Amino acid sequence: MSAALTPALLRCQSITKRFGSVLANDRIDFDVRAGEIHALVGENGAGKSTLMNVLYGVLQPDEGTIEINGEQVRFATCAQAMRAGIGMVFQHYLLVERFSVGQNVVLGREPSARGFIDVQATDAAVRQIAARYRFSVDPSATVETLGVGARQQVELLRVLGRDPRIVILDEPTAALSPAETEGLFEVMARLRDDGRAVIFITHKLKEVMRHSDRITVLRRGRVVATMDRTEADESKLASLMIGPQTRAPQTSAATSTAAPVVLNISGLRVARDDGSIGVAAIDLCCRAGEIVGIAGVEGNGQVEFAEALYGVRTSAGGSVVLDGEDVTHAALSRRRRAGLRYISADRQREGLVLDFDAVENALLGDVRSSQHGSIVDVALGQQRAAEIAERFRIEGYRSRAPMRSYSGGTQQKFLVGRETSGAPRVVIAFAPTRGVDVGAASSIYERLRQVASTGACIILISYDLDELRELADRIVVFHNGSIAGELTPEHADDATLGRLMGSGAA
Amino acid sequence: MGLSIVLAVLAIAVIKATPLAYAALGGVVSENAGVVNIGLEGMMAAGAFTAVVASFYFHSVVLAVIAAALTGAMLGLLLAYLAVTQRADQIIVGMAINVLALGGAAFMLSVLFGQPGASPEVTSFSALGGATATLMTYLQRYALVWLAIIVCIVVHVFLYRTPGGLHLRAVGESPHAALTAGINVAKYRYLATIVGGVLAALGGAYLSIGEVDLYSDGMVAGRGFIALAAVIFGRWTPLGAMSACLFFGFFSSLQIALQRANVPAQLLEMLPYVLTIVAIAGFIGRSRPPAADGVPFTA
Amino acid sequence: MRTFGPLLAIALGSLVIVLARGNPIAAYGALLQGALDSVQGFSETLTQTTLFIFAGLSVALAFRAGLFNIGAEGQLVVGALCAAVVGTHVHVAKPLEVPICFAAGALGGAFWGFIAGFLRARFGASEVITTIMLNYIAYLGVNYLVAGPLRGSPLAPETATIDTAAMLNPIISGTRLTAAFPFAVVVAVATWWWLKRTVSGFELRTVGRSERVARYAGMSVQAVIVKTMMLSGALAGIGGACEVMGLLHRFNAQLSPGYGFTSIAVALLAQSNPLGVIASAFFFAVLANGALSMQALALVPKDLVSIIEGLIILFASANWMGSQFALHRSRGSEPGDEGDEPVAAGST
Repeated sequence: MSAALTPALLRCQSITKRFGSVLANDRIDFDVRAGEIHALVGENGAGKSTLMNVLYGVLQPDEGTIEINGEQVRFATCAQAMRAGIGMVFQHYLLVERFSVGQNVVLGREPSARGFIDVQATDAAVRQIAARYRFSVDPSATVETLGVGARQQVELLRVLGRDPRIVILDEPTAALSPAETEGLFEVMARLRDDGRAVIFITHKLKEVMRHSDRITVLRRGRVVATMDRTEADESKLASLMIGPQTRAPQTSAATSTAAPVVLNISGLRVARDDGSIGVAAIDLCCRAGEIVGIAGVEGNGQVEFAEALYGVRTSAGGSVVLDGEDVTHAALSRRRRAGLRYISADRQREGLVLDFDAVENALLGDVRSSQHGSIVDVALGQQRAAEIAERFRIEGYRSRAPMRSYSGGTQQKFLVGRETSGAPRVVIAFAPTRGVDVGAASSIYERLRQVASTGACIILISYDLDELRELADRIVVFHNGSIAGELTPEHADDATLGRLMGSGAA
Repeated sequence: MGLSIVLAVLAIAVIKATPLAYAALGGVVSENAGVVNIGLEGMMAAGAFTAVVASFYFHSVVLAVIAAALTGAMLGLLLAYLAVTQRADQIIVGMAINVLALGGAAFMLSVLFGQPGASPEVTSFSALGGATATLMTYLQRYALVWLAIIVCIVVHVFLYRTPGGLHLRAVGESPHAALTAGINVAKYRYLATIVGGVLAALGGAYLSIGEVDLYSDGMVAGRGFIALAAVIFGRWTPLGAMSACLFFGFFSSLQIALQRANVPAQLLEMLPYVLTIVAIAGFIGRSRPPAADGVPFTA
Repeated sequence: MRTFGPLLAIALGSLVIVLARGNPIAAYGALLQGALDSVQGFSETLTQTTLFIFAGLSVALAFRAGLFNIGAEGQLVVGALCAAVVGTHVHVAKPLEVPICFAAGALGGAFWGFIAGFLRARFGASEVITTIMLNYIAYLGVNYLVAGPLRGSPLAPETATIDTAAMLNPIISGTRLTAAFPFAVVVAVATWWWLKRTVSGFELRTVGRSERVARYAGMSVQAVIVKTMMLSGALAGIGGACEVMGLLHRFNAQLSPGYGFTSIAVALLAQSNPLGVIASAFFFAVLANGALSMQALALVPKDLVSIIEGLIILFASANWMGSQFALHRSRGSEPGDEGDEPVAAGST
């Protein structure tokens, strides 16, 4: 039967979801048919996960309807969504570490005999589903002993065991090896051939082109396109995901290659929390006055890289040399004293104490290098805070008001101002203009350029390609924890970047 | 002669362990669902006091035990409401329950019985059975002791063999996993906390109408906290907690026996507390509580 | 919630009085009269306030760092014993006796607090549990010591009387009020200043707000935890020293005042502000001291005060949402855990 003639098994219309002032889903129309693999692509923050959480009953939409087989449904809880035949495999597996594979798979629908869990029936049930999809799992193994690939299998079994008609997979291949990835797609193909509807969320365009039947692209909470796979190609998808260029790529002043090296990173390896590889082996050399941009889809090692460079996370290998000094194993405070600074992407949890006022926040990170010994150098803090307020033209600045009373954008400006004061040598700027309006963003850019011109170097990690093109002297692309390529801003158009970011190859 | 002393010490150990065991089992149940109960001491006191009051008015140990259980349930409900629905700090709520229950009991002692410090003697388990020491006598007199053993087994079977127990443990380990498996997290936490309160109160009831026959100020004497220690020591399992209680009871009994031998009582009494510190510092293997223990759940 | 909590507690307290067939107005009136209306009464209230200030500061300081110090009572007792021992056995020039006894009290309490702080920083052992355990260990330990090795009197399990030079004398004759009270107020103000103005105080407050931000700012969270518990213990220890030097003039088993829970209530009501602790301590001292009069004159059992205290703590719990004080936290052996430091390169 032609795909176009199959009616939709699940259909969303005008789904809208707000979180405060953020419009995560904006009148989204989306549908999926039985016997189809439908890929949902978009950058982070495009609204993919929100939409799936709405479908699964974890969130309730503010507006819009969901229909299954033509009948309107409303899911107040996951249990209701599950009963309607929807199964969801989350990106961060929701398994109980201490339970066995069997217990995790049957949780919520345990086979029981006279009130007790029937362990043999559990094992049998697990083996049966596993056999269908050619997984090899040991029902009695404890989940915490399993590796990432095996855990995903357990998570899949958990979902598939309920015989869902619609299966949603959120970034399923994010942490898998190539072999495991192939295995997963075989499973998805079987699901499709069984007549189920499969939705998978991904940012990996290669996978989309190989395995999906239809593709929907989200950008900034809206559906920008839905098409058959035959009508799509990677470049087109990349452009749709990223959007039209808003500014012509700027060429920044060329940095002389004779400028001294400030930061030399060699062979840096970093592990993720779950033990998998975050950063494979990065070599990066930054010279005085340089702004090095790091592009990449979220989750490709940027966070681990920044954390290891700053000293919050231990590296698994390699070296970091700052101004000739080996700081690879130095404590964070040592690195700060050597001139390393960090503009965090998460200002609320890493950068600022919202209950402190501007003066105290201005001193965070430097409070021990006060001239006055063990007394807090309030004067320095006031001076610094006032400087920041002036430089960024913060309106309504009151030194005694808690940080919480300022808007998010102002808080961000403040954080940038603090981390660029005191003559830094290397500034790691991680999404420095996130949540900031255009005017504030340009004053942040100005400040970063200023700092660079003093002979420091800036490492700018960003998800905003325009920002990277505007500021960086060169752009390095991270993919799967390695550097996939390096471009100058003139050559870093959306399509090229998109390909490097999405598949690691130009 | 030697054997009878050993038996006596063991028997007293079991008796000393019983109130601890109830409270510890209550702690095990609620913590496995993810709710920390620092208020075990207060719940024991409330149970002890209520049992005496009910026994005073109704002259029935059965009604007394039921009254204690109801009181424990109410305090458990209070903790559950504040911890689960209001997401208040569980430790502070537990402390409040301790102060309220201990103070409330002392207050009511004066109001109801006109004498501060201790209640009059009431009908207790020690009055049950005939004057002759038959098997029935032992069964009746120590009913709460046998019940404790039964409760331990029931809790163990429930937690590790039934679907309900699996759900409860899932709620305490990974509430998000439980939620997406269709389990009602709040319901399990409420029930577990209420059951915890009931059990702790029963432990208190044993203290007042099982071991003796009155309530006196300060009779709980920190047992609620030793029970907490037993939970940790027993690695949040019912059998483990029970064993820890027997172990602590043994030292309590030993201390009585050694009083004549000029061994400083206090040093022995210290042992449970020292051992608990050793246990939670991780020196006796890694002690890992349920992963979401004490953390309020937001969907 | 700051005034609402205690007001509601007092209102509910009246309800309890009514249910017990008493008269709330007469009861509260008697309470206030007993606590405030005579030189004897008022001075006794201030004496009580002294102890509550020290114990309350101890708990409040720990709260500011995100730690739950339930061990103020144990730290107090250890400090008191140390002060008594120094006061009886160490003989120096007269003007130095009082300061070194205070120092002994502070060091004793600091040591007791250090144990809990170290266990928390190094092993992630919850200070909630360890301080409770240490309370009992302290109580039993000092009882053993004064009945045995440190016994100074053949008549009772207690130390000998401390040197006259180590004693604090009443500043109003006929009362028990000593210079300990103004000293307590000074210490409270000093604590407030220390928190606000010193680098260590700044670090403590930062850790209390967010361990993560503190780490990113280069602070050693573990060092702060240990220091905080030591200071917290020292404050309680000085309070214990005041008891010995000003009231009992010796250490005996009667000293353990059973104010462990009250110190928590004092700190919570003061919202952990050292200056607020002064007022909060006074409030609870009025309650504690007036309770006896209330019982004698209005025939309402003094334990009503404990009920009010419990209610205040209960209402305060709603202010502290979420897992402010994590009871069980693994040391940092879980990957990505907050407790991780990259390398033990020492604190700054």
